[in-house]
Amino acid sequence: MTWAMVGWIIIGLAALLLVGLTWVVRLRSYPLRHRAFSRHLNRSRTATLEQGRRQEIVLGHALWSRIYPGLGLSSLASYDALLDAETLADGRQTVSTNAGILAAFARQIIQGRYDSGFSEQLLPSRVRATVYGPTTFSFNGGLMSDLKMQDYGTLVILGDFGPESAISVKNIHDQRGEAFSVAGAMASQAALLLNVPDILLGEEVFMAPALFNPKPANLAAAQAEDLLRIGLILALVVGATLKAVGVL
Amino acid sequence: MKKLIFAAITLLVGLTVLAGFFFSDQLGPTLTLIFEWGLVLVAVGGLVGMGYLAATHIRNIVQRKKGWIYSAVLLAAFLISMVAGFTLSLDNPFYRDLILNVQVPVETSLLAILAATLLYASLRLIRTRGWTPLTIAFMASAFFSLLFDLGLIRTASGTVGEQVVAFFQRLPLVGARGVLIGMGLGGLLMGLRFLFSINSSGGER
Repeated sequence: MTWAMVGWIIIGLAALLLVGLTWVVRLRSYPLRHRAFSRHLNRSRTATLEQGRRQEIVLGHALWSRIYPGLGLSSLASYDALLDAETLADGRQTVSTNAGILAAFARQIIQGRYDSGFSEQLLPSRVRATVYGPTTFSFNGGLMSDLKMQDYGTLVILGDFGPESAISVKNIHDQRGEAFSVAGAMASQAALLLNVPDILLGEEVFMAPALFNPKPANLAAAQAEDLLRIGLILALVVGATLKAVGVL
Repeated sequence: MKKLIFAAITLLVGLTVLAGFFFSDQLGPTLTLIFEWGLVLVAVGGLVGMGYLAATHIRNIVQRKKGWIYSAVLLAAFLISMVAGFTLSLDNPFYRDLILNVQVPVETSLLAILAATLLYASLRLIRTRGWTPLTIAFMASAFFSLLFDLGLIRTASGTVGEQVVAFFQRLPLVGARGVLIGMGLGGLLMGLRFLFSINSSGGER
Protein backbone atom coordinates (compact mmCIF):
# COMPACT_ATOMS: atom_id res chain seq x y z
CA MET A 1 0.00 0.00 0.00
CA THR A 2 1.42 3.39 -1.02
CA TRP A 3 1.01 6.72 0.81
CA ALA A 4 -1.17 7.97 -2.04
CA MET A 5 -3.55 5.06 -1.43
CA VAL A 6 -3.66 5.86 2.30
CA GLY A 7 -4.54 9.44 1.34
CA TRP A 8 -7.36 8.29 -0.92
CA ILE A 9 -8.73 6.01 1.78
CA ILE A 10 -8.87 8.99 4.17
CA ILE A 11 -10.55 11.15 1.51
CA GLY A 12 -13.09 8.41 0.82
CA LEU A 13 -13.83 7.91 4.51
CA ALA A 14 -14.19 11.65 5.02
CA ALA A 15 -16.62 11.90 2.09
CA LEU A 16 -18.69 8.96 3.34
CA LEU A 17 -18.85 10.31 6.89
CA LEU A 18 -19.79 13.78 5.71
CA VAL A 19 -22.50 12.57 3.32
CA GLY A 20 -23.88 10.11 5.88
CA LEU A 21 -24.00 12.57 8.78
CA THR A 22 -25.35 15.43 6.63
CA TRP A 23 -28.07 13.74 4.60
CA VAL A 24 -28.77 10.41 6.33
CA VAL A 25 -28.36 10.96 10.09
CA ARG A 26 -29.23 14.73 10.10
CA LEU A 27 -27.85 15.67 13.53
CA ARG A 28 -30.01 17.92 15.68
CA SER A 29 -27.42 18.46 18.39
CA TYR A 30 -23.76 17.73 19.01
CA PRO A 31 -21.70 18.60 22.11
CA LEU A 32 -19.33 21.10 20.51
CA ARG A 33 -16.24 22.26 22.38
CA HIS A 34 -15.51 25.96 22.97
CA ARG A 35 -19.11 27.09 23.32
CA ALA A 36 -17.79 29.88 25.55
CA PHE A 37 -16.08 31.32 22.47
CA SER A 38 -19.35 31.73 20.55
CA ARG A 39 -21.10 32.99 23.71
CA HIS A 40 -18.49 35.73 24.19
CA LEU A 41 -18.59 36.61 20.50
CA ASN A 42 -22.38 36.88 20.48
CA ARG A 43 -22.29 39.05 23.59
CA SER A 44 -19.66 41.34 22.07
CA ARG A 45 -21.51 41.64 18.76
CA THR A 46 -24.79 42.40 20.54
CA ALA A 47 -23.10 45.11 22.63
CA THR A 48 -21.49 46.54 19.50
CA LEU A 49 -24.87 46.70 17.75
CA GLU A 50 -26.59 48.27 20.76
CA GLN A 51 -23.87 50.89 21.18
CA GLY A 52 -24.08 51.82 17.51
CA ARG A 53 -20.47 50.81 16.89
CA ARG A 54 -19.06 48.96 13.91
CA GLN A 55 -17.95 45.32 13.47
CA GLU A 56 -14.89 44.38 11.45
CA ILE A 57 -14.61 40.87 10.00
CA VAL A 58 -11.28 40.04 8.39
CA LEU A 59 -11.24 37.11 5.97
CA GLY A 60 -7.52 36.48 5.68
CA HIS A 61 -4.90 36.90 3.01
CA ALA A 62 -5.64 34.08 0.60
CA LEU A 63 -8.38 31.82 -0.69
CA TRP A 64 -5.86 29.00 -1.10
CA SER A 65 -2.33 28.29 0.08
CA ARG A 66 -0.18 25.18 -0.15
CA ILE A 67 0.33 24.75 3.62
CA TYR A 68 -3.22 25.65 4.67
CA PRO A 69 -5.41 24.80 1.67
CA GLY A 70 -8.77 24.90 3.46
CA LEU A 71 -8.47 28.14 5.39
CA GLY A 72 -9.82 30.51 2.73
CA LEU A 73 -12.93 28.38 2.28
CA SER A 74 -13.22 28.05 6.05
CA SER A 75 -13.25 31.84 6.43
CA LEU A 76 -16.06 32.09 3.86
CA ALA A 77 -18.09 29.36 5.59
CA SER A 78 -17.56 31.04 8.97
CA TYR A 79 -18.53 34.44 7.61
CA ASP A 80 -21.64 32.94 6.05
CA ALA A 81 -22.57 31.54 9.48
CA LEU A 82 -21.83 34.87 11.21
CA LEU A 83 -23.91 37.11 8.97
CA ASP A 84 -27.23 37.40 10.79
CA ALA A 85 -30.36 39.45 10.10
CA GLU A 86 -29.60 42.03 12.85
CA THR A 87 -26.20 42.80 11.36
CA LEU A 88 -27.65 43.06 7.86
CA ALA A 89 -30.35 45.46 9.06
CA ASP A 90 -27.84 47.51 11.07
CA GLY A 91 -25.35 47.59 8.20
CA ARG A 92 -22.42 48.75 10.33
CA GLN A 93 -20.12 45.90 9.45
CA THR A 94 -17.07 45.86 7.22
CA VAL A 95 -15.73 42.63 5.73
CA SER A 96 -12.17 43.02 4.58
CA THR A 97 -9.47 40.93 2.96
CA ASN A 98 -6.49 41.55 0.72
CA ALA A 99 -7.45 38.84 -1.77
CA GLY A 100 -9.81 40.17 -4.43
CA ILE A 101 -11.38 36.76 -4.96
CA LEU A 102 -12.33 36.50 -1.25
CA ALA A 103 -13.81 40.01 -1.38
CA ALA A 104 -15.85 39.02 -4.43
CA PHE A 105 -17.20 35.91 -2.66
CA ALA A 106 -17.94 37.89 0.51
CA ARG A 107 -19.87 40.43 -1.54
CA GLN A 108 -21.81 37.59 -3.14
CA ILE A 109 -22.76 36.26 0.32
CA ILE A 110 -23.87 39.73 1.48
CA GLN A 111 -25.79 40.47 -1.72
CA GLY A 112 -27.53 37.09 -1.54
CA ARG A 113 -28.76 37.81 1.98
CA TYR A 114 -30.00 41.29 1.09
CA ASP A 115 -31.75 39.92 -2.00
CA SER A 116 -33.60 37.35 0.09
CA GLY A 117 -35.58 39.61 2.38
CA PHE A 118 -34.41 43.21 2.76
CA SER A 119 -35.69 46.32 1.09
CA GLU A 120 -32.62 48.41 0.32
CA GLN A 121 -34.62 51.65 0.53
CA LEU A 122 -35.33 51.02 4.23
CA LEU A 123 -31.71 50.41 5.21
CA PRO A 124 -29.62 53.32 6.55
CA SER A 125 -26.38 51.60 5.52
CA ARG A 126 -25.26 48.29 4.11
CA VAL A 127 -22.67 45.70 5.09
CA ARG A 128 -19.76 46.15 2.71
CA ALA A 129 -16.87 44.03 1.48
CA THR A 130 -13.65 45.95 1.05
CA VAL A 131 -9.98 45.49 0.21
CA TYR A 132 -7.69 47.71 2.30
CA GLY A 133 -4.60 46.84 0.30
CA PRO A 134 -3.42 44.21 -2.17
CA THR A 135 -0.40 43.01 -0.15
CA THR A 136 -0.18 41.68 3.40
CA PHE A 137 1.38 44.80 4.86
CA SER A 138 -0.56 47.36 2.82
CA PHE A 139 -3.71 45.57 3.95
CA ASN A 140 -2.63 45.82 7.58
CA GLY A 141 -1.77 49.49 7.12
CA GLY A 142 -5.28 50.12 5.79
CA LEU A 143 -6.92 48.02 8.49
CA MET A 144 -4.98 49.79 11.27
CA SER A 145 -5.96 53.17 9.92
CA ASP A 146 -9.65 52.21 9.60
CA LEU A 147 -9.70 50.77 13.12
CA LYS A 148 -8.29 54.07 14.40
CA MET A 149 -10.61 56.36 12.42
CA GLN A 150 -13.93 54.62 12.92
CA ASP A 151 -15.57 53.39 16.10
CA TYR A 152 -15.19 49.61 16.06
CA GLY A 153 -16.48 47.43 18.90
CA THR A 154 -15.75 43.92 17.60
CA LEU A 155 -12.97 42.54 15.44
CA VAL A 156 -13.19 38.94 14.17
CA ILE A 157 -10.12 37.50 12.48
CA LEU A 158 -10.88 34.54 10.21
CA GLY A 159 -8.79 32.52 7.77
CA ASP A 160 -5.19 32.54 6.65
CA PHE A 161 -3.06 35.16 8.40
CA GLY A 162 0.50 35.91 9.40
CA PRO A 163 1.77 37.19 12.76
CA GLU A 164 1.09 40.78 11.65
CA SER A 165 -2.56 40.28 12.63
CA ALA A 166 -1.44 41.00 16.23
CA ILE A 167 -1.04 44.70 15.33
CA SER A 168 -4.71 45.13 14.46
CA VAL A 169 -5.67 43.45 17.76
CA LYS A 170 -3.66 46.08 19.63
CA ASN A 171 -5.61 48.77 17.74
CA ILE A 172 -9.03 47.35 18.61
CA HIS A 173 -8.01 47.02 22.27
CA ASP A 174 -6.92 50.68 22.24
CA GLN A 175 -10.50 51.50 21.11
CA ARG A 176 -11.93 49.47 24.02
CA GLY A 177 -13.20 46.92 21.55
CA GLU A 178 -12.88 43.14 21.65
CA ALA A 179 -11.00 40.81 19.31
CA PHE A 180 -11.82 37.21 18.45
CA SER A 181 -9.46 34.99 16.54
CA VAL A 182 -10.32 32.12 14.21
CA ALA A 183 -7.07 32.55 12.27
CA GLY A 184 -5.65 29.24 11.14
CA ALA A 185 -1.97 29.69 10.34
CA MET A 186 0.39 28.63 13.14
CA ALA A 187 2.38 31.89 13.05
CA SER A 188 -0.76 33.96 13.52
CA GLN A 189 -2.06 31.66 16.27
CA ALA A 190 1.20 31.96 18.21
CA ALA A 191 1.11 35.76 17.90
CA LEU A 192 -2.60 36.10 18.66
CA LEU A 193 -2.50 33.74 21.64
CA LEU A 194 -0.56 36.47 23.43
CA ASN A 195 -3.22 39.16 23.30
CA VAL A 196 -6.54 37.59 22.29
CA PRO A 197 -8.37 35.87 25.16
CA ASP A 198 -10.95 34.31 22.81
CA ILE A 199 -9.07 32.24 20.29
CA LEU A 200 -9.62 28.96 18.43
CA LEU A 201 -6.39 27.00 17.93
CA GLY A 202 -5.27 24.43 15.37
CA GLU A 203 -7.99 22.44 13.68
CA GLU A 204 -10.61 24.06 15.96
CA VAL A 205 -10.87 26.85 13.37
CA PHE A 206 -12.77 24.48 11.07
CA MET A 207 -15.35 24.03 13.82
CA ALA A 208 -16.20 27.76 13.74
CA PRO A 209 -19.16 27.55 11.31
CA ALA A 210 -20.84 25.03 13.66
CA LEU A 211 -20.18 27.29 16.67
CA PHE A 212 -21.55 30.38 14.92
CA ASN A 213 -24.56 28.67 13.38
CA PRO A 214 -25.30 25.19 14.82
CA LYS A 215 -27.50 24.01 11.94
CA PRO A 216 -27.46 20.24 11.16
CA ALA A 217 -25.09 20.54 8.17
CA ASN A 218 -22.47 22.42 10.21
CA LEU A 219 -22.83 20.03 13.17
CA ALA A 220 -22.42 17.06 10.81
CA ALA A 221 -19.14 18.48 9.51
CA ALA A 222 -17.88 19.06 13.06
CA GLN A 223 -18.72 15.49 14.07
CA ALA A 224 -17.22 14.02 10.90
CA GLU A 225 -14.00 15.92 11.65
CA ASP A 226 -13.93 14.65 15.24
CA LEU A 227 -14.54 11.04 14.17
CA LEU A 228 -11.83 11.22 11.53
CA ARG A 229 -9.42 12.71 14.04
CA ILE A 230 -10.09 9.93 16.56
CA GLY A 231 -9.59 7.34 13.80
CA LEU A 232 -6.32 8.94 12.75
CA ILE A 233 -5.05 9.12 16.34
CA LEU A 234 -5.83 5.43 16.83
CA ALA A 235 -4.15 4.56 13.52
CA LEU A 236 -1.02 6.53 14.53
CA VAL A 237 -0.85 4.85 17.97
CA VAL A 238 -1.40 1.36 16.54
CA GLY A 239 1.07 2.01 13.73
CA ALA A 240 3.73 3.32 16.13
CA THR A 241 3.21 0.32 18.46
CA LEU A 242 3.46 -2.18 15.61
CA LYS A 243 6.58 -0.43 14.35
CA ALA A 244 8.10 -0.50 17.85
CA VAL A 245 7.53 -4.23 18.27
CA GLY A 246 8.91 -4.92 14.80
CA VAL A 247 5.71 -6.05 13.03
CA LEU A 248 5.76 -3.20 10.48
CA MET B 1 -32.85 25.59 -10.12
CA LYS B 2 -29.95 28.06 -10.29
CA LYS B 3 -28.56 26.57 -7.08
CA LEU B 4 -28.81 23.03 -8.49
CA ILE B 5 -26.96 23.96 -11.67
CA PHE B 6 -24.25 25.68 -9.62
CA ALA B 7 -23.96 22.61 -7.34
CA ALA B 8 -23.78 20.26 -10.33
CA ILE B 9 -21.01 22.30 -11.99
CA THR B 10 -19.04 22.47 -8.71
CA LEU B 11 -19.36 18.72 -8.19
CA LEU B 12 -18.43 17.92 -11.79
CA VAL B 13 -15.34 20.14 -11.78
CA GLY B 14 -14.27 18.94 -8.31
CA LEU B 15 -14.64 15.26 -9.15
CA THR B 16 -12.80 15.76 -12.46
CA VAL B 17 -9.87 17.36 -10.62
CA LEU B 18 -9.87 14.55 -8.03
CA ALA B 19 -10.07 11.88 -10.73
CA GLY B 20 -7.24 13.66 -12.54
CA PHE B 21 -4.85 12.71 -9.76
CA PHE B 22 -5.77 9.03 -10.23
CA PHE B 23 -5.84 9.02 -14.03
CA SER B 24 -3.29 11.70 -14.80
CA ASP B 25 -2.50 10.27 -18.28
CA GLN B 26 -6.09 10.35 -19.51
CA LEU B 27 -7.24 13.53 -17.75
CA GLY B 28 -3.97 15.51 -17.83
CA PRO B 29 -4.99 17.96 -20.60
CA THR B 30 -8.42 18.51 -18.99
CA LEU B 31 -6.78 19.21 -15.62
CA THR B 32 -4.41 21.73 -17.23
CA LEU B 33 -7.37 23.48 -18.85
CA ILE B 34 -9.32 23.61 -15.56
CA PHE B 35 -6.30 24.98 -13.65
CA GLU B 36 -5.74 27.61 -16.36
CA TRP B 37 -9.38 28.70 -16.11
CA GLY B 38 -9.03 28.79 -12.34
CA LEU B 39 -5.93 30.98 -12.61
CA VAL B 40 -7.72 33.37 -14.97
CA LEU B 41 -10.66 33.61 -12.54
CA VAL B 42 -8.34 34.26 -9.58
CA ALA B 43 -6.55 36.97 -11.61
CA VAL B 44 -9.92 38.55 -12.42
CA GLY B 45 -10.67 38.34 -8.69
CA GLY B 46 -7.48 40.34 -8.09
CA LEU B 47 -8.71 43.01 -10.50
CA VAL B 48 -12.07 43.05 -8.73
CA GLY B 49 -10.15 43.56 -5.48
CA MET B 50 -8.39 46.58 -7.00
CA GLY B 51 -11.83 47.87 -7.95
CA TYR B 52 -13.06 47.47 -4.35
CA LEU B 53 -9.95 49.24 -3.07
CA ALA B 54 -10.43 52.17 -5.43
CA ALA B 55 -14.20 52.33 -4.82
CA THR B 56 -13.77 52.39 -1.02
CA HIS B 57 -11.32 55.29 -1.15
CA ILE B 58 -13.27 57.23 -3.80
CA ARG B 59 -16.34 56.90 -1.55
CA ASN B 60 -14.28 58.18 1.42
CA ILE B 61 -13.23 61.25 -0.58
CA VAL B 62 -16.69 61.96 -2.02
CA GLN B 63 -18.40 61.62 1.38
CA ARG B 64 -15.56 63.59 3.09
CA LYS B 65 -15.22 60.84 5.70
CA LYS B 66 -12.74 61.21 8.53
CA GLY B 67 -9.25 60.71 7.12
CA TRP B 68 -10.32 61.27 3.50
CA ILE B 69 -7.02 62.99 2.81
CA TYR B 70 -5.23 59.64 3.35
CA SER B 71 -7.55 58.09 0.78
CA ALA B 72 -6.56 60.84 -1.67
CA VAL B 73 -2.85 60.15 -1.02
CA LEU B 74 -3.44 56.41 -1.43
CA LEU B 75 -5.28 56.83 -4.72
CA ALA B 76 -2.59 59.18 -6.05
CA ALA B 77 0.17 56.71 -5.07
CA PHE B 78 -1.86 53.85 -6.55
CA LEU B 79 -2.30 55.69 -9.86
CA ILE B 80 1.38 56.71 -10.05
CA SER B 81 2.50 53.12 -9.35
CA MET B 82 0.05 51.71 -11.87
CA VAL B 83 0.95 54.16 -14.65
CA ALA B 84 4.68 53.69 -13.92
CA GLY B 85 4.24 49.90 -13.95
CA PHE B 86 2.44 49.96 -17.30
CA THR B 87 4.73 52.47 -19.02
CA LEU B 88 8.16 51.67 -17.57
CA SER B 89 7.91 47.87 -17.11
CA LEU B 90 8.93 46.04 -13.94
CA ASP B 91 12.65 45.90 -14.88
CA ASN B 92 13.04 49.65 -15.21
CA PRO B 93 15.60 51.00 -12.64
CA PHE B 94 13.34 53.97 -11.71
CA TYR B 95 10.37 51.69 -11.08
CA ARG B 96 12.49 49.25 -9.08
CA ASP B 97 13.86 52.18 -7.01
CA LEU B 98 10.30 53.39 -6.42
CA ILE B 99 9.40 50.00 -4.99
CA LEU B 100 12.63 49.31 -3.14
CA ASN B 101 12.99 52.79 -1.61
CA VAL B 102 9.36 53.34 -0.65
CA GLN B 103 7.38 50.15 -0.31
CA VAL B 104 10.02 47.92 1.28
CA PRO B 105 11.04 50.41 4.04
CA VAL B 106 7.37 51.08 4.84
CA GLU B 107 6.67 47.35 5.15
CA THR B 108 9.82 46.88 7.24
CA SER B 109 8.63 49.60 9.62
CA LEU B 110 5.42 47.62 10.09
CA LEU B 111 7.54 44.59 10.98
CA ALA B 112 9.28 46.72 13.62
CA ILE B 113 5.88 47.72 15.04
CA LEU B 114 4.93 44.04 15.05
CA ALA B 115 8.06 43.09 17.01
CA ALA B 116 7.32 45.77 19.61
CA THR B 117 3.63 44.74 19.80
CA LEU B 118 4.52 41.08 20.31
CA LEU B 119 7.11 41.90 22.97
CA TYR B 120 4.57 44.05 24.83
CA ALA B 121 1.86 41.37 24.48
CA SER B 122 4.16 38.59 25.69
CA LEU B 123 5.06 40.65 28.78
CA ARG B 124 1.34 41.02 29.50
CA LEU B 125 0.47 37.40 28.73
CA ILE B 126 -0.42 36.43 32.30
CA ARG B 127 -2.49 39.59 32.80
CA THR B 128 -4.39 38.88 29.54
CA ARG B 129 -5.00 35.17 29.94
CA GLY B 130 -4.27 34.42 33.60
CA TRP B 131 -2.32 31.47 35.05
CA THR B 132 -3.67 28.57 33.00
CA PRO B 133 -1.98 25.33 31.88
CA LEU B 134 -1.92 26.81 28.35
CA THR B 135 -0.09 30.01 29.33
CA ILE B 136 2.37 28.14 31.56
CA ALA B 137 3.10 25.63 28.77
CA PHE B 138 3.41 28.47 26.25
CA MET B 139 5.89 30.42 28.39
CA ALA B 140 7.88 27.31 29.31
CA SER B 141 8.16 26.18 25.69
CA ALA B 142 9.13 29.69 24.55
CA PHE B 143 11.80 29.88 27.27
CA PHE B 144 13.27 26.44 26.56
CA SER B 145 13.18 26.96 22.78
CA LEU B 146 15.15 30.19 23.20
CA LEU B 147 17.54 28.49 25.60
CA PHE B 148 18.23 25.52 23.33
CA ASP B 149 18.50 27.67 20.21
CA LEU B 150 21.22 29.76 21.88
CA GLY B 151 23.47 26.72 21.67
CA LEU B 152 24.87 27.28 25.18
CA ILE B 153 23.99 23.77 26.36
CA ARG B 154 26.60 21.43 24.97
CA THR B 155 26.75 17.70 25.65
CA ALA B 156 29.18 15.02 24.63
CA SER B 157 28.08 12.88 21.71
CA GLY B 158 26.55 9.50 22.52
CA THR B 159 25.48 10.49 26.03
CA VAL B 160 22.03 10.56 27.60
CA GLY B 161 22.33 14.36 27.85
CA GLU B 162 22.61 14.61 24.09
CA GLN B 163 19.49 12.49 23.68
CA VAL B 164 17.59 14.69 26.14
CA VAL B 165 18.63 17.93 24.37
CA ALA B 166 17.73 16.42 20.98
CA PHE B 167 14.34 15.39 22.38
CA PHE B 168 13.55 18.92 23.54
CA GLN B 169 14.78 20.37 20.24
CA ARG B 170 12.46 18.03 18.35
CA LEU B 171 9.37 18.95 20.39
CA PRO B 172 8.37 22.07 18.36
CA LEU B 173 8.55 20.01 15.16
CA VAL B 174 6.39 17.30 16.73
CA GLY B 175 3.83 19.89 17.86
CA ALA B 176 3.80 21.55 14.44
CA ARG B 177 3.23 18.18 12.77
CA GLY B 178 0.32 17.44 15.09
CA VAL B 179 -1.27 20.81 14.33
CA LEU B 180 -0.72 20.38 10.58
CA ILE B 181 -2.30 16.90 10.58
CA GLY B 182 -5.39 18.33 12.32
CA MET B 183 -5.45 21.29 9.94
CA GLY B 184 -5.11 18.91 7.00
CA LEU B 185 -8.15 16.90 8.12
CA GLY B 186 -10.14 20.08 8.71
CA GLY B 187 -9.11 21.44 5.30
CA LEU B 188 -10.08 18.16 3.62
CA LEU B 189 -13.56 18.24 5.14
CA MET B 190 -13.98 21.92 4.31
CA GLY B 191 -13.08 21.19 0.67
CA LEU B 192 -15.58 18.32 0.58
CA ARG B 193 -18.29 20.55 2.07
CA PHE B 194 -17.88 23.00 -0.80
CA LEU B 195 -17.55 20.17 -3.32
CA PHE B 196 -20.86 18.62 -2.22
CA SER B 197 -22.44 22.11 -2.05
CA ILE B 198 -23.16 21.77 1.68
CA ASN B 199 -21.50 25.19 1.80
CA SER B 200 -21.38 27.53 -1.13
CA SER B 201 -19.09 30.45 -1.96
CA GLY B 202 -22.28 32.41 -2.60
CA GLY B 203 -23.46 31.72 0.92
CA GLU B 204 -26.68 30.33 2.34
CA ARG B 205 -29.84 31.99 1.02
